[in-house]
Amino acid sequence: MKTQHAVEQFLYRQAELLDSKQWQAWIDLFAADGIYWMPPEPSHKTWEGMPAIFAEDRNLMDVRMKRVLHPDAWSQRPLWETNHVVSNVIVEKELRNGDVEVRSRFHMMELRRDDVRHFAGSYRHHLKKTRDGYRIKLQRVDMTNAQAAYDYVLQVWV
Amino acid sequence: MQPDRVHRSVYADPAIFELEMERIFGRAWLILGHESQIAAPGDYFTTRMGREPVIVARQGDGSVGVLINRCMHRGATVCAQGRGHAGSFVCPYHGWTYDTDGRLRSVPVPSGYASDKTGELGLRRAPRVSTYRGFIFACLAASGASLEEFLGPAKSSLDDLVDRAPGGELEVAGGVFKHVYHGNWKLMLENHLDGIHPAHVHASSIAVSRGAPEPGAPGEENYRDIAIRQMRQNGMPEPVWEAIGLWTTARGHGYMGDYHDDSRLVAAMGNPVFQEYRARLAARQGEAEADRILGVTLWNSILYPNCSFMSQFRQLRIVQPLAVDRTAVYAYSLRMKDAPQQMFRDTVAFANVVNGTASWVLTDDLEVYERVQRGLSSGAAEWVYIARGAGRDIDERDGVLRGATGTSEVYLRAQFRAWLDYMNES
Repeated sequence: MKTQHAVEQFLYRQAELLDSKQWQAWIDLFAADGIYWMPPEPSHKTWEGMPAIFAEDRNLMDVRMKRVLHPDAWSQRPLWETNHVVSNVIVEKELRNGDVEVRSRFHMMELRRDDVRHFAGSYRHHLKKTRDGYRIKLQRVDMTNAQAAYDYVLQVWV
Repeated sequence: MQPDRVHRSVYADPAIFELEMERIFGRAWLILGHESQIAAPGDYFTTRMGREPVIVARQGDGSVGVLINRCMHRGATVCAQGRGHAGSFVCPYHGWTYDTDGRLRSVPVPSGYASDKTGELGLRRAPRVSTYRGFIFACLAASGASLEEFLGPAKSSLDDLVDRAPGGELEVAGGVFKHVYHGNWKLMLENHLDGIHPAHVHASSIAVSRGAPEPGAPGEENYRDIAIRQMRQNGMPEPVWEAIGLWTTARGHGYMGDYHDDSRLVAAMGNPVFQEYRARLAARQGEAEADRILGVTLWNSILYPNCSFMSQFRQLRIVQPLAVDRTAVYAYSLRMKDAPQQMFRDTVAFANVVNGTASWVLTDDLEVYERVQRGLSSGAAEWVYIARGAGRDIDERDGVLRGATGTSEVYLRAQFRAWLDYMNES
């Protein structure tokens, strides 16, 4: 129960950081070698060597964050608003060292100027236990609409 | 349309869009995909040729058939999947069943008709289907230029794309990126040969790439290096853009000379993977031919009216007009047969950041297409100007016009010249 609670709090906090645009704090939830990955097809087993909607280490996350905040990021003026709801949290595996694998589901509403979009899908987090709490080794994001044509594109992490 | 300007209605008027679907998409050869997508008989994928929904299916005899996805009874589409393998196509409405070559195999209660319908009511087929170097093209017009005539000098761009594979072939690999933008289909084909826009549209990604970690030395590259190099390259000074070659053909195709050299883009010759790749190419083609192939440096190529591709990173995008102000784009990554695996990883690294659905480069292009579309719905000003470099275009014969500089709008003039030819053809 303790793990379940700690993991849920971690996921809620991660979503809250996205929705409040605290992107540096969001990036800091990743381990030094952590990866954020969104495959274009559910069948993909690895991010390496395969096309991916997102496949980013912390260096690329940093570039993405800075671009979004750049005054000439035309598509981001004004910045988009998002609202995440994370639920159905299942701890699938807990190792002796405290690392866990977690499955969850999300719903995200996004506001781009006057246009509202809705996205949903599942997260799979590989979390490493550290003295400062969990850090993300791998976050896999499967969008339910991954294979449909996106109406416009994605910009900030989902 | 005038020599230096185009009326805004060609981007914004739904009636003109309808005419384009009939006269351009109904007459031009359209690229539909690649043979590797339908390797075995019965393999198929669905797409559109302008307004026509079509099924592209590998036939029993190994050829490629393009069937109109519309039941001959009441008109329902007979296939709703994006891709798959089928022994037949069955209409969900009344069970009319078609072979993968379109022949009507059976109807329920055939005694309901006075005569046997199976001989006459097969699925309609695109009258002409052809392939070039593995790419599948079809044409809805029964007569007109052959595919090779249609491609003309643009064949060299496709040759460049395929010649680079040590095994002489490409395959579509790893999945497709799909997005829709709220703008006219022509905007993307125009933008891909536009040498002025990167410094402005992509200002944000250029700026952040300059502060990003330096790419690794040859053999020690990081996955992210290609993306960083590409974004920096978009920010080259104007004289470099001015010096790039820009060619167009009589049918509106076009290609841009490269604005990278290998050392800037992939650290190529010093890179052990690239050396291995070059060795495999030379083993098959000979040293001189390998040098010639790798010496062709084209960046974006346009096949008007529905395709854009680049050979160095083996990306191909197909444009599907949905409405006057709505366009779908499918982006494919191509793998070179017999090349080291790392070469495809480079393709992927490039695809993800530049053409992917969360790209920080593409997003600002789409933003601008949408702003243009909104602006052109205004009637306060009527014209769009296409005059940069006009009067200085260089005639290289066979209908090829080269821009006097790499920032010439010769590609706009050439695309609209072709547009006008299609629209006026009786």
